[in-house]
Amino acid sequence: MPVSGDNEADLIELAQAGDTKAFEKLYRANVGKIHALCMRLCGCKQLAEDLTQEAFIRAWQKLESFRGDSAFSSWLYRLSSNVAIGYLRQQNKWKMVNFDEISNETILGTDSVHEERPDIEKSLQCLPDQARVVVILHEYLGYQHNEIAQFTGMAVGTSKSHLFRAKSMLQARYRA
Amino acid sequence: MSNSTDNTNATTDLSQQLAELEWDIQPQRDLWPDIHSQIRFADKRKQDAARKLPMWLPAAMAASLVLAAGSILFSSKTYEQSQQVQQYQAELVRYQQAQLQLIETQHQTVRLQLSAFLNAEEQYLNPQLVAEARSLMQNIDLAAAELKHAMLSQPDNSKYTSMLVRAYQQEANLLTQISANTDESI
Repeated sequence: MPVSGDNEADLIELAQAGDTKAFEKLYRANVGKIHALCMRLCGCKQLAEDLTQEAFIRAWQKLESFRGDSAFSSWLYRLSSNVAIGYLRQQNKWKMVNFDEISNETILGTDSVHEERPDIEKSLQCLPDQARVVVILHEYLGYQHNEIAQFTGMAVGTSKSHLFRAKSMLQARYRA
Repeated sequence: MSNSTDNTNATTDLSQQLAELEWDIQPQRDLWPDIHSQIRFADKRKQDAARKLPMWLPAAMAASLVLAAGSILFSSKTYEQSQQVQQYQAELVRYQQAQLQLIETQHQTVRLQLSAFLNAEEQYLNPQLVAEARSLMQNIDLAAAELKHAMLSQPDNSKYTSMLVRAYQQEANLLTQISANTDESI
């Protein structure tokens, strides 16, 4: 999203020089997108606010490394994904759940298969953390499996498997 | 319908459904005041660290140079001047101990900062980088213990002080690099 009334490149340059007012404008322009991403990745509104806050603090600390090779929002998305995934990886459920051993009904509930059009938001939040992260990074942000593997520490094959499984579940719900 | 066609449809549909979601959701509270205070605090901490680091190397290097000069003078003394030599040696040991204390104090500051940084940032750093940093810290500890032992047995040999300074400087460099370049791992 372009920053209204200010040139984004100028704001970035000022913020890189230590101008917190410029950084605040960048924050205001991007906070909604980053908060939505964190909320979808972690599945919790309260936690999403903390992760969003942490993402912007890290963005400030790493701003010098932004060279403009990609859009600022892409850079921010990548950094924020890393913050959210870093948090999820610290949690026990990240390691303990084996997605391949869980049935569709266990994950999505038996009622959901009767819905005419499944609620994607609800479905996402029912997925195990690893699968949800893969779906969002691959299908929404457009990352490749090797990039996702780097982000998450999982094998490329596992990332593909999670995505395939998640898609199959949604497909099954459509058929019902 | 084949499986691959089904899967392609599912992919398209999933991407489409995700794209239809609201992807600009404001948090319920304004996060900026907290962010602002934290980045100011972090900047201050960084400035303090930067201020301390340059002071550490010159002081330690100066100590090494003084010790080296003292060592040369000491080695030129003749046997007949043994009384003076003994006095000088005692002074040298005292001076060396004072310098060693200064070097250790400076190193403890760096060690505390590096440990705190690694603990706070571990989840965001490359695990291999963290493991290497911790391994380097352990190696520096081992090397420092050996060097300090050697310094006690040969107080007139300034090369051990220089080596200790260099070993500790590696840790200071590591702190500078790891805190400045974590952006590479995002």
